[in-house]
Amino acid sequence: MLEDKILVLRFNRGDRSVLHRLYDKYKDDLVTLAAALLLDVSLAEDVVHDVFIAFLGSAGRFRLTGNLKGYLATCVANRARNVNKAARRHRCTALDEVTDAAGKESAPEQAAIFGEELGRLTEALRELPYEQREVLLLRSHSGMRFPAIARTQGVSINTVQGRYRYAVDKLRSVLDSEANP
Amino acid sequence: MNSIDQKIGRLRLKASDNLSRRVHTGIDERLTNEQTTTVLTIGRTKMTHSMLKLAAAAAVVFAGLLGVSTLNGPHSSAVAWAQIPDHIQTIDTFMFRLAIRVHGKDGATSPGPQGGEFTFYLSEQHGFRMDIGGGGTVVSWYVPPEQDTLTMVIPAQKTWSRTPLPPDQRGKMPDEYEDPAEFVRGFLARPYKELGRSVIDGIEVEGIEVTNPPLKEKDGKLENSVGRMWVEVKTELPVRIEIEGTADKATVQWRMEFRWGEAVDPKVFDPNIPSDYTPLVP
Repeated sequence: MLEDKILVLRFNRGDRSVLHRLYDKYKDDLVTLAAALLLDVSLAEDVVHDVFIAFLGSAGRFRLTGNLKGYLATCVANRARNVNKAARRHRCTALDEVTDAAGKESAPEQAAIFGEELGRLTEALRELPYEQREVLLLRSHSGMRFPAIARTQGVSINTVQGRYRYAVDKLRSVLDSEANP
Repeated sequence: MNSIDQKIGRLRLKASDNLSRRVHTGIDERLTNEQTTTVLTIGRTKMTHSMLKLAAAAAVVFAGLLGVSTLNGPHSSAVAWAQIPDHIQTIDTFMFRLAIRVHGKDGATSPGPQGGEFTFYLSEQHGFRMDIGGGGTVVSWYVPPEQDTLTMVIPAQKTWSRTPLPPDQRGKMPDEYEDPAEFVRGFLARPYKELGRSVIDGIEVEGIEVTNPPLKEKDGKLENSVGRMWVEVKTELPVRIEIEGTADKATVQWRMEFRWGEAVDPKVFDPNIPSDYTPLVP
């Protein structure tokens, strides 16, 4: 908490070298978030890379006042959303059928990105509509509050809470049915 | 927290070396190209002294206990526990004093090699100060945000030193400092019980108690430990945190006491070295 406050203070004063420390501190969390959103490690790393490089250009002309980890998670979510949309457009053009950035044809490989033990969870995440997956991950993985997620998605808090409930119910249903076929 | 949240929380990936190389190189290239001038840094203090490591660990425990209040509500008490971290985020200056006592099997109380007294002053605007007390001597460390230096003052010896911090140590808290979020996660599974109201130093407080507050292995292991946090009812900010447990058959007690915001005089961040003090030569 204190370190973040100091890093933000320095960043707001134009010291962009703090990005090295910010990256080292949050890289694993952010890569995990992006990978869970996109279900693709390679795309996820590109997203995190682009977020930090883009961040460089903002020093001195914006002020960060809230939670730093939440802010970075929001940046990752926004960029991942764009990547997902671009991937869908590309796949729609190429295949005329796809659900998200990680196509189902590669599901067995992608399911293992978080290890075999969490493979079922990864597969279940894939079953969620992207918006629900995003709400669930921002809430449960990044610890963001519903109002902040609502601002990120540009929807009402009620909508976000609904997406969260649907996501939890759906995941629970998928995981239970696999555990008790 | 539901089971799905817990499962999501277990998702973990490590950033690849390749990504780290790309990001660090990208940052360096941009900074080099723009010949950025950087003067506002706060240095990583060299905490080789065991007392300092212990003190840093205490800061973590403090943050961890705050995590308890964040995540275990709601409750019927007057204190809105879940809002305390947000409240703290709005305060840019605070201090806390930590006293550690070790009671041996014979009942004797001694600071000992693992005990001592520490006072931390932390401010976004003014930097960082840490006082380490022991054996009748106090050593004060100052790291102002405007300089790349670490200043040490030893009043009992009338000596002081000021050391520039190398670039690779700037912008870092001590290695021993850990992200409180990790402790918050550790507290997720721990329920707390409410202790009701009490009065500390004339301040009306309300408390909670947790068992076995999670400590990292390197911070030392306490067995059968209990942590209590007392929060001022009026301001909803921590007033005192106590942890008690056993280690190597001895009883270890930690007590942290806090001051927030305007209760901390900005002058404490100024080393204000008297003219008759002698500079220490490295």
